[in-house]
Amino acid sequence: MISNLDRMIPVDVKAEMEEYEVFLLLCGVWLHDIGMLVKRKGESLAQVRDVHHKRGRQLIRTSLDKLDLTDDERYVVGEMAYYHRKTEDLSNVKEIMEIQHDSIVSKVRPQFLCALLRLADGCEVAHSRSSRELVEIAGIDDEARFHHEAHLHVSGVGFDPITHEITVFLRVKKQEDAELLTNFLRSSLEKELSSVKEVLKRNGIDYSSVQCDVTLDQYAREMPRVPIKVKEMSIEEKLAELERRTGYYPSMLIDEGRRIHVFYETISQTRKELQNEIVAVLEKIWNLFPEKKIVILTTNKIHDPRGTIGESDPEIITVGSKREEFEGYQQESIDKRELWNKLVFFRKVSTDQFHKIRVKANWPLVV
Amino acid sequence: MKKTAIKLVKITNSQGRTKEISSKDLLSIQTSKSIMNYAGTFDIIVDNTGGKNSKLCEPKDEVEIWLGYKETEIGKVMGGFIDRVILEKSEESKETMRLQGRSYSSVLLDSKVSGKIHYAQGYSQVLRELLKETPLKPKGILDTEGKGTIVLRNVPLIDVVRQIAEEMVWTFEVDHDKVFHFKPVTPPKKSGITLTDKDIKSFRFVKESK
Repeated sequence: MISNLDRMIPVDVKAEMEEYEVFLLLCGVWLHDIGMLVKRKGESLAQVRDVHHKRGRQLIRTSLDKLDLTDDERYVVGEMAYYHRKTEDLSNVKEIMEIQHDSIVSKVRPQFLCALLRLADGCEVAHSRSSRELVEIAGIDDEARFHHEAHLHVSGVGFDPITHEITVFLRVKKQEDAELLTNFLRSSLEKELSSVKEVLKRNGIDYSSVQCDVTLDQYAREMPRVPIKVKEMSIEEKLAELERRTGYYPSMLIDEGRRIHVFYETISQTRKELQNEIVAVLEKIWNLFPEKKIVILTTNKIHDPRGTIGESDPEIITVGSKREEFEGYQQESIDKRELWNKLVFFRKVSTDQFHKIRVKANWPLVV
Repeated sequence: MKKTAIKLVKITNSQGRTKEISSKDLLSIQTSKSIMNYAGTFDIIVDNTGGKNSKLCEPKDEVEIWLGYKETEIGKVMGGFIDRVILEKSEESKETMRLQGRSYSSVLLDSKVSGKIHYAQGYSQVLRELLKETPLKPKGILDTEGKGTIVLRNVPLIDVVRQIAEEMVWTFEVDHDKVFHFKPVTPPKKSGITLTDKDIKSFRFVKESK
């Protein structure tokens, strides 16, 4: 992570950081996951992970007597441990603090340090983070196994402050794995980045997008496809599985018996990408919810607001599909274009300045 | 005869104690209305000579802004929460305190929800459940039909409300008294006001290329 920080922070910003601020940042790097060491009886690894940031802050502030840190230092490092989780809102962290240490008073930017740590931790996806032995012998759950396998396919992460891009270098065996990992890694890093972008920008660091650079290598290992028992899964587990399979984060699901409605945010940049993605995501939803008759999918476009369906570009598009149409597609009795023509698209339009309603949209498949 | 405006700002802290800022201490009040479900904003500048008002409020305290011309005719123009308190001292040694914040709708923007809700009375039941965790009180159409389950995974409350409003073709707003109204979308009505040459002092056309 220290290497990530070193490459992520541009030279001019580094030059402006006080030594003391760097010291606190490094303390944060070493201690931010310390809450993972606290496991109560009966807790699963996932449950520990969910609260480790809270426990970490508590430990750093109130225990760990051997840490030779002052109360102010423990406060800042505790904030870093707490706010490295992207679910927590960084705007609650103090922007500036003045801390006296020895006989010097230093200005410290806790919010900036939390943002740096969060992004550096999010970018900690390279193979050096994981090991094949751990995946094989540790008996970890499927979700953790998928994350470890994903990391084993990442050869490095690059930061370019001039083009404002973060690039993830992937080495995969098959195109299918490339799509799976690109979706998964880009989506998760984009979310990490968007949660810290404004804070970093205010402090002179400007990254705006995440790219994947894929190398197909026949000697790379195939990504595991874990057999799952759909009938035994709860809705929440199905959503987690959908996230794992697509790399996108389904934020909301409405289940009304015969019909389900799933909402997620896309990072597709072009019409072609988005259309391919919609078919792929729908296919995965149908596989996970085979008992449903109708699937509705709403996708928010969170990135480039320009361009998916020409003049009437939506920021939000809703797609309706019926089971028999997808069965026909999966059994290859109809092709992708025929399937596409059977789907129903809705987009939002204004009836006046304030109210938006959904209307049917004609959205032909890009060749 | 020129009327004199009356300004009044009430601040309620997290313990429920209310204080008023006197009209003579209120140097300026600016508000912008909530639009398209985004929160309205306020910016209040208070005289703070000698730090007399420094301890009056904290971020997250509640603010009510009242304006009018007579004690009996003043009305509440905005209610919301303080986001920032800025203590300033200008070159002329004038000390001021600036309170910036957003209207009650900010609760919808700032809250995130996770969990599962089973409903048997349609989406209005979902909305009521969601608003239970907020200081907002629901009002409007509260009877809908429909059974189902909604699963939420760390979603901003505003997104859920917008989505439900859209499904039902409803519209919603949060008023100055923390009441969350939801009602069917109705076509806009004509105001009946016509502006003539007498009323229009100047105008500007802007043409933009697509």
